[in-house]
Amino acid sequence: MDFLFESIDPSWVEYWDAMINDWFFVGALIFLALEFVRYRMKGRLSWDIIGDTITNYITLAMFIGINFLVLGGLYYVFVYGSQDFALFDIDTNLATIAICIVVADLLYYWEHRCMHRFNFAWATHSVHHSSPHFNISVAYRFGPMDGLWPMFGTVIMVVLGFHPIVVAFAEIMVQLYQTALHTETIKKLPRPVELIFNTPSHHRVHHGSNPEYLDTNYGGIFIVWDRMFGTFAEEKAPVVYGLVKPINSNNPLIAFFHGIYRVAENVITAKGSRNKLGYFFGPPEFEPDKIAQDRSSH
Amino acid sequence: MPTNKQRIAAVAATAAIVLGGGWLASLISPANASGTDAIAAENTGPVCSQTRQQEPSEKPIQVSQQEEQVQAPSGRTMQVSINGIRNSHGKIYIALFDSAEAFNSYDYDRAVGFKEPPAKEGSLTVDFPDLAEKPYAISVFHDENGNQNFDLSGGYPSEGYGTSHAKSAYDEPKFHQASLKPGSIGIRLHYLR
Repeated sequence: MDFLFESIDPSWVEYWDAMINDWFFVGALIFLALEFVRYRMKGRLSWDIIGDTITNYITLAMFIGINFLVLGGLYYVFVYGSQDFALFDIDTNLATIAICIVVADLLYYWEHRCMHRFNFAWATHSVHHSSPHFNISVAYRFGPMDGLWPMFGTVIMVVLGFHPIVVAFAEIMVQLYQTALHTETIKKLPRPVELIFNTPSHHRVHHGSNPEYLDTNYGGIFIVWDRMFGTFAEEKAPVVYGLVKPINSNNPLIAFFHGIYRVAENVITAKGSRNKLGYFFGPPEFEPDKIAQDRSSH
Repeated sequence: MPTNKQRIAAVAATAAIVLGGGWLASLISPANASGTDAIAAENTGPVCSQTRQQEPSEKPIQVSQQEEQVQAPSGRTMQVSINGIRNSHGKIYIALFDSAEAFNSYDYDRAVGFKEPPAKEGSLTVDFPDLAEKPYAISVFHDENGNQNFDLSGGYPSEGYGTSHAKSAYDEPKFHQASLKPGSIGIRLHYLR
């Protein structure tokens, strides 16, 4: 068991990070091809699904572009700035990397939950949920500011004392695990797995617009966080994927910017500062104050 | 939809798990496994009159002697070779640490060994005798202008510096990466200007 505690140079972790991330992308493309064969066999292959898939990868390209141009510098400043305030002196070895992945997963749960419950963050995350389909390409459908919100968790872990490269590795592992869940081909996994881990079944529920499925199953790798914190729902009724108010478009620009446009429009047209704040900081189901609305209609 | 009670409990549980995770991970480091965390804890504890008597006096060199008597009569020696000294101006300051906390925060007052030989172009070697069999980390700088300070300009070192096990000029190893048990080690000085 000694190999668990042997120090690893972070540059190795950086190398694994890049290797796993890149090969996972290749694997996902191969899996996507198999999904299309399955769509064809079931007679479900349509231009809509093909257009949706292309849009997914175009949003990915725009997301990566924004990360490079805007968010990369922010991460550099905050992550390397917070390194000096480390609470603990943490070595890099397999055991501490494993602990970091569990912590990253728990912080991801909260980041993800906040992205669903605050309109200003839902503006960008709703892009990911705007596809009415569910295959691995949807996992690569990102909104413009999706790269910003993980920063809070990143900084918390760096302040704890984990090496920034280990933190990045742990976050990528959580992200890739979730990516693999975007499929309809796997129905249910063995019960102990469904109990502890996030599974395709749990994640289909998360993508559902069915009322009983809204705002559930935020977990990354572990579903125990949802079970503990009261946000879990089991897959029972067939899932209707997408948003409560669908965007009905495969135009990549509409898909990418619809959330920001919606929030900006709501905030600008809302009457009174209370409603404006509600449309910005409130949950997605926020409705403007009735009294204020009445006053405006008179 | 979770209730407010559930939300508060969830946030509290999260804080406990995150902090506990960091603490657990800090226990799994090779440096701490050999007992340095005990010393770090002693240093962070409140200084009451009783502990002050046990605590080593201010001069760092005496600390290592006292340690030898108290806990480690093994008397191991750390031989430190400083390489890449660019000229013979001023002095070389060499500090030996046994505490992760003191080392990571560059707290020279809590170094357990300290040497300041005159600088010599090329390389020089110093010995820290009477050490215990446990990890130590070493930090070095070249006080070229003799002002007894490690000078920075614009946030960057303007005098030569080095750390045990540092891989490059920009590598800032933490205690568990920089430390080694008594033996011999070469440290290269880096000059940015």
